[in-house]
Amino acid sequence: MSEQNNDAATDVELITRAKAGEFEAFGELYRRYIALIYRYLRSRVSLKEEAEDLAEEVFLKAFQGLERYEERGVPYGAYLYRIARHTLVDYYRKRDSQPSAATIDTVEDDQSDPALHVDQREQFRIIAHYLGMLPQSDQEVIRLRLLLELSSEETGQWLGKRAGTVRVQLFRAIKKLRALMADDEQR
Amino acid sequence: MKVNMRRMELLEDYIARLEGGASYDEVRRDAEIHGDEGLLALLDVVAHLHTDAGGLDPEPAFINATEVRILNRLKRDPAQIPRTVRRPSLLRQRRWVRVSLAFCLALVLVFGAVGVVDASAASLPGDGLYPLKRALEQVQLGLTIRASADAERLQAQIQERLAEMEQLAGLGRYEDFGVAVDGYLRGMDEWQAVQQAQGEDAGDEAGGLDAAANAAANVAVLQRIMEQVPEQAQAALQRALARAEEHAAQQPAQGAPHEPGPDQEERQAQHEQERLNRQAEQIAAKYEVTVEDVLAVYHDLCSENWGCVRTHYRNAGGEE
Repeated sequence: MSEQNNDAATDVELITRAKAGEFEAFGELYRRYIALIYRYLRSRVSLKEEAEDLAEEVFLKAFQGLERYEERGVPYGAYLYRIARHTLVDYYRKRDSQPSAATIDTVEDDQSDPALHVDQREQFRIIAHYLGMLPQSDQEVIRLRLLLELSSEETGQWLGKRAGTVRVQLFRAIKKLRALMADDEQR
Repeated sequence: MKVNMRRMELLEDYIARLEGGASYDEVRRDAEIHGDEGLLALLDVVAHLHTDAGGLDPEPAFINATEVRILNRLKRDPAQIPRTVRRPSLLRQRRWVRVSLAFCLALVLVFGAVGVVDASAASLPGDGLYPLKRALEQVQLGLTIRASADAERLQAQIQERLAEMEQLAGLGRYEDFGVAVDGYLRGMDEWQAVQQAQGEDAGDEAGGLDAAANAAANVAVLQRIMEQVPEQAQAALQRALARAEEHAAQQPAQGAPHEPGPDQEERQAQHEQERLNRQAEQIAAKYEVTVEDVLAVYHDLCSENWGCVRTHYRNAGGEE
């Protein structure tokens, strides 16, 4: 099927074709979601190379899981996000490290990444430090809504929450983040 | 924490504008009109996150190279491909195919295909050979002469239904629970009827001992399965658990002691070990790992929780 047709195909159609063994349909799904999944993983691990390896692992697992995937109101992006979270749990377990600790280290040691300007890296290190101090659910809302730039509706679908809840939680999480930063500034 | 709705809406609007491509300076200028320092402070945080998020994007070279690598790997290594794609199962396609196949298998059985009998013994609800397994159980039951042998057969069937539920939980096949639960309830009905008849005839104290031990063990097994399965699968299990608890509660009235003797403990331990091995074999076969690996994960990593083992291999092999 042509690229143009692929663009018009829904996720469900692509999944059906991929289930039937059409690799290119899965390739299209990959192209649709790789940036989001990579961004999420990149926001949670220290090194670019780690995020790349994990992203590849997520999509391989996703392909293996195609047989069991049924939409049932869970968009494919949300499904991939869950795989990514599970993959991270395994990754942290293997590293014998806690997710929060890794979050705090985010991007800090990534000297090998030329795409990140030094100032930007430093700024993100600071933000990631404070982000890691928030409750996990607040962190996830901020990551999905602001780092991945999902809408409140999409964020809600991925997290299994209502869009209104996401909006309020995001606002509160930003306030908490600001309060943490302000506290440190005053010291 | 109280939410200032006006401030929240304004912040949302600014987030949308930043995401839409507006510059931070432009958005901040507009925000300053409100003279709300608190809002500006929050906007600064958002702007930081928004700007810094740019550094999280994957490089185009990585996206392209990984796509090629993944697709090549999938094409080259059939183990990466879902089973339905690699080898469509005839058994899962149509009901009439399953029925025809079961009939053919029954014919083969008549001519002594012991292997098929063995295969069906390991089948689970939802498998093509499962109806054969249940039919064979009925045949075996029909071949017994004494009531005590009937009771033993029925108890074995009940234990088999429990083992099936445990294996289904381990495999995440919650949709097939209903069949095993129905089988369990039917087995309990028949077994209790036989027990009652036996008790009326002979007042068998040893039977009472076994019944009490079995009832307690069944409740424990069902409670353990219940802990492993998601909420939607618990409704079916609840019926079996309620029945098992009801049965266990009836045991003191029969005058049966609660403490099992050494023989019973040994039997229970043996039964438990067999159940454990069956469960491990199922998971090992599904995820293509060794039984020893599965048991190691079960004991060392998962604190003897099959749900955790399943999640572990699913995560390693791909699923929610």
